[in-house]
Formats: sequence, C-alpha cells, structure tokens
Amino acid sequence: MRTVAVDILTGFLGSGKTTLLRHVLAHGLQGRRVAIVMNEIGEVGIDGKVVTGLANVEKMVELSSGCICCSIDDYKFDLAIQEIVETAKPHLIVIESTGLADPEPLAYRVKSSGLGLDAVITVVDAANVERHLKETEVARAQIEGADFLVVNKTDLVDARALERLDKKLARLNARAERLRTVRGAIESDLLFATGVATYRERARSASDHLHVDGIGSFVYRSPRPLRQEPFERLLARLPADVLRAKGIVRFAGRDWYCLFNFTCGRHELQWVKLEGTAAPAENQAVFIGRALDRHRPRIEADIAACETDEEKRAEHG
Amino acid sequence: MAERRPDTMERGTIMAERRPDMEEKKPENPPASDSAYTEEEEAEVKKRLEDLGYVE
Repeated sequence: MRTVAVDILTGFLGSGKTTLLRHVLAHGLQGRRVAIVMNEIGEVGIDGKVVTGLANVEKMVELSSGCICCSIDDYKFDLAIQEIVETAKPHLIVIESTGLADPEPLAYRVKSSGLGLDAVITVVDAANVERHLKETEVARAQIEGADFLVVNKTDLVDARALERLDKKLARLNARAERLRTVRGAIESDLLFATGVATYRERARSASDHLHVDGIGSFVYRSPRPLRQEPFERLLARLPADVLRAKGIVRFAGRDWYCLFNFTCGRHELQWVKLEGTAAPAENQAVFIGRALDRHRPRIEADIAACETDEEKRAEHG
Repeated sequence: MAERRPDTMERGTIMAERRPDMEEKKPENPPASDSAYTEEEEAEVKKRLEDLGYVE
C-alpha cells in the first residue's frame, strides 16, 4: 500500500519556493521523513543543494532535464517516484516544480502514479506578481491551480497594494486559502499532509477551541459504515471555513477502506485493503478550519445521516 | 501485470488504486496466513496512517 502523500510546491521564477521549502524543512513537519523532488530546467541543479543535508530530508531527487509538467515523460517521472517510495519510504514527497510549470498536469501525473495528492501550494511574489500575470499565462495557471496561495515578500509592498493583490487573487481562485509570509517563514502544519496529525493531537486538548490563527480542529468517530454517495456529496459541500479534512472510512458494501483527503474545496479518495491490526475499528475523520464551533454540529449531523446498517442495506439491495 | 491506470469518477475525484468492486471478494474468514501483511508490516502501515493524520 502506498500511503505516501504528495505536495506540489509551485510558483513563478523567483517567488521564493525554495526559501519556503528550506524554512519548512528546518522548522516544521514534526521530524517526519520527507523526500524532495526538485525540478530545475538547467543541467546543474542549484536549488537541490540548498535543501540537501537538512535533517528531515530522507531523499533528494533532482529532475533537471526538462520541465516536470511537460518535458519529462511519464515513464521517467514514475520511475523517479517509484525509486523514492521504495528506497526512502517517506511519509511525504514534496515536488518543487520549475517556476514555469503549470501545476494541473503535474497534479494529474501524481494521481496517475498511484499516490495521493495532498495539496498544491503556490508561492506568489507580492512585489512582482502583477507583472508576471501580464507577461505570462503560466503565472495565472499557477494561481488558479492552487489549494494554498502563499503570498511571499509582503514586506516589499505597502498595505494598500497587498489588499488589492488579495482581492485579485480571490477573483482568480476563490477556492484557495490565502496566507501571507516574509522570506517563506510560514507555519507548515496547515500546508502539508504531515501537519494533519498535529491537528488531531490538538483536537484532543480541551483548550483547542481557538488558536492564535483562529484555526481549530475536531475529530469525528463512528463504528458504522457510511453510504458512499451522500458522503461524497457532503465533502463537496463542506463550508469554505473547512480548510482540510482527512480520514479513513468504510463504505457499506465495500471490503476495502477509503482514505479521503479534502483540501480547500477539492477532495480525493484512495482505496486501501487493510487487515489485522492495521484495519481501524471505526471511521475516523479530522476536520480543520475556522469557526468550527459553529460548523461542527451540522457536519457531525450530516455524517451521521450517511451512516447505515450494512445488513439492512443488503436486504434492500 | 502492469498496474491499472486510475479511473476518474468525476471532476476532483480520482481512484488511485483499483476500485473495490473490481477486486475479487475475499473470503469472509480468511485464515491468518492469508493476511495481506505480516504483523510487522501491519504495525508499519498503522504507524504511517497515524503520521499522515488518517487515524489516531
């Protein structure tokens, strides 16, 4: 079973992708094993050297013979991913694309290779994004394809310009969560898959109602199987305040388990066959977002409405 | 046998592995030796699911 999550880190040339990645690797991810795929167009990788040697980095693979979204063939990409999974056994793979890559085809490649896409993170250069948008198509594609928009270099623009940029980004991609940073110094728990486990732990604490950033979490548990269609409808209709949701559920009539991952309005399912102690005794889901005290009763009621008695369903079925 | 391409269900949803209804149903009470993982592997899978936030 390939329980490896993939985060795609993208953003225009010079936006600060590698700086952000270096900060995250040095300060976050709870010491979990991370593999990095660094894509640079030139023959000699520079960015790769910047992150090599950091404690969390289990493996570093450089793809430097072309752009990962269009020039590197599927076979070479799959081979690189397979090698990483088998040799490094990472929890998380972070793919840093070139500054000219469109994240959408890359996201499709990740899914096609059998891995779970956790999030598309686009770094936006606050000081230069207007020019990038005027001069290129790909800058727009990077913003439109994001789950998280990390607006970097905010110290280089005034408050009014930042407000204008925020509105523009919201128009280009209303679904994405927008975060601001200087020199890539950002808290990584929300951005990367491994941070979800941290929110689970926080949810157990009674004082979790509100963090300084206003983002909280809660865990839902249930021993009964769920009906798949209404559960997927529920995921598609989660309120915008829910930024992430993740968990494992068993659907009625299925003998495989379903890992679901919801990130900023987009969700995907992965099927896994679990037996023995690896098989969970109950459905578990963690919800992360803002104003969850307000949203929680409705979400819990909606999931409860998806629960079913498997035997009864079989009689009707 | 080559691994299947995932089947797209609808926009935003993708099956990363074979759908369960494409798999043969396993026996209701398989003998222990038929388990998909060894005990060590089960523990590893459980730990990885915990680390990624799927289970607690």
